[in-house]
Amino acid sequence: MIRSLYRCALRLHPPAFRKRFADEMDSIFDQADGNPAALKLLLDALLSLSRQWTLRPEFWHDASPSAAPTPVFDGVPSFSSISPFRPRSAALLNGLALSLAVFCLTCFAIRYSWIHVLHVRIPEVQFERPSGIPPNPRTSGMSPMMEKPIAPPPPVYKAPSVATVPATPALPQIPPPVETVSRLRSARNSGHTNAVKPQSNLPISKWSAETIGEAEIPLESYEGTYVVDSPAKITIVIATERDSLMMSISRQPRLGLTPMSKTKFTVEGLQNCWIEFTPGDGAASPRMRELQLSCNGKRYVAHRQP
Amino acid sequence: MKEDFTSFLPLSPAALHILLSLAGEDLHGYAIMQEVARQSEGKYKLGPGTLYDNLQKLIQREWVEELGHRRGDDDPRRRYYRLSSLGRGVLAAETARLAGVVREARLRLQIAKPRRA
Repeated sequence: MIRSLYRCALRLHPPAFRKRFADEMDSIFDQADGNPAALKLLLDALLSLSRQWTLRPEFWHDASPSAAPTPVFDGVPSFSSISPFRPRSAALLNGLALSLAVFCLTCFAIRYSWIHVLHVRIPEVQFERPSGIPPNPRTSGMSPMMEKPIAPPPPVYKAPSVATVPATPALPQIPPPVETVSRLRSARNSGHTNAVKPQSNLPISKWSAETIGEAEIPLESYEGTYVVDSPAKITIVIATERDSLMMSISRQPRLGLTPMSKTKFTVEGLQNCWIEFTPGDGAASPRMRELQLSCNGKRYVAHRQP
Repeated sequence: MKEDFTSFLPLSPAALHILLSLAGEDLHGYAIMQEVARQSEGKYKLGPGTLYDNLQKLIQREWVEELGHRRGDDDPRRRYYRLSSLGRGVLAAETARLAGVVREARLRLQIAKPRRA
């Protein structure tokens, strides 16, 4: 084992040194008595290896021309390779240093590049405007480039006192279209307040709630006083005013509610705020038992007071 | 014309001992190691790596000549080395320098010369 390591260390010496002294060093190793002496010689060979490659560059190359292999013409066909190229050891070391420098520069460039990648501005997530809200007539005629980014004030929901909505449980809740509101309004004006059924091709069927089904929801079902218990006691009053739902928080001025769905309403005048009602258990006349007020990412649950 | 070897001085301990061991007769590497250990009474031992590293430099400076293999040797891998005249001159100059150093040291240290018996 030690001998093979020693020979391996000898083979790793520069070619000139190896050709000249490797055999003699190997013969000296044969004179070693026992493992301690062999280990000493191995350590000496390793030190010599580092010394030759680091401190003796002038001896890396063999000054004496090596004997070129002469073809033997003894009847046996011989093969010779054409000038086997082997780069100089100095060239290999220079290449190693150059490669390391390029590698370090590349790493630096990647890091520099990543800094710029991290500075890429990520657009903020914005809530989409409900499709049920009609566009601002002042800006509807403008081109998209001229339209101001300020959201128009949502219209007040003037819903009929009673509305019948077919249920489609499998469909997701989406905001009611403008046609639905106008249709309900016209139905109220014509006196059919109790049996307004939208046409089947209208998207009104999509804003039914799973928990409500086809039950008629009078606006009185939303009315009431809802109290938030935590983090502070907040009283939310939902009332009907001229066929519109209004909300007042802790005796502040009333705010109109704009429907997004049968149970979800946006709050007029407050951006990124909406209210979602949770109906009670009564199937015939569902009364809302609680509401969730979501405003700027915060969520408050208010229970209806009896 | 006397050649000036002072530019080569002082020699390293390894080079000095190698030149000194080759001053008597031609030796191969292992014999040089043994001779160096004998001259220094075992206080200075050369390893093969140090020996051949110094031999390489001494051969390049032409202070030592490489003789190659010798017939009748037990190990055909051994090569013999001889001290050249140039190397002999360098060794003499180094010995004179060291003698001066020893003389000066004796004066400074007030060491009496050994009397003849």
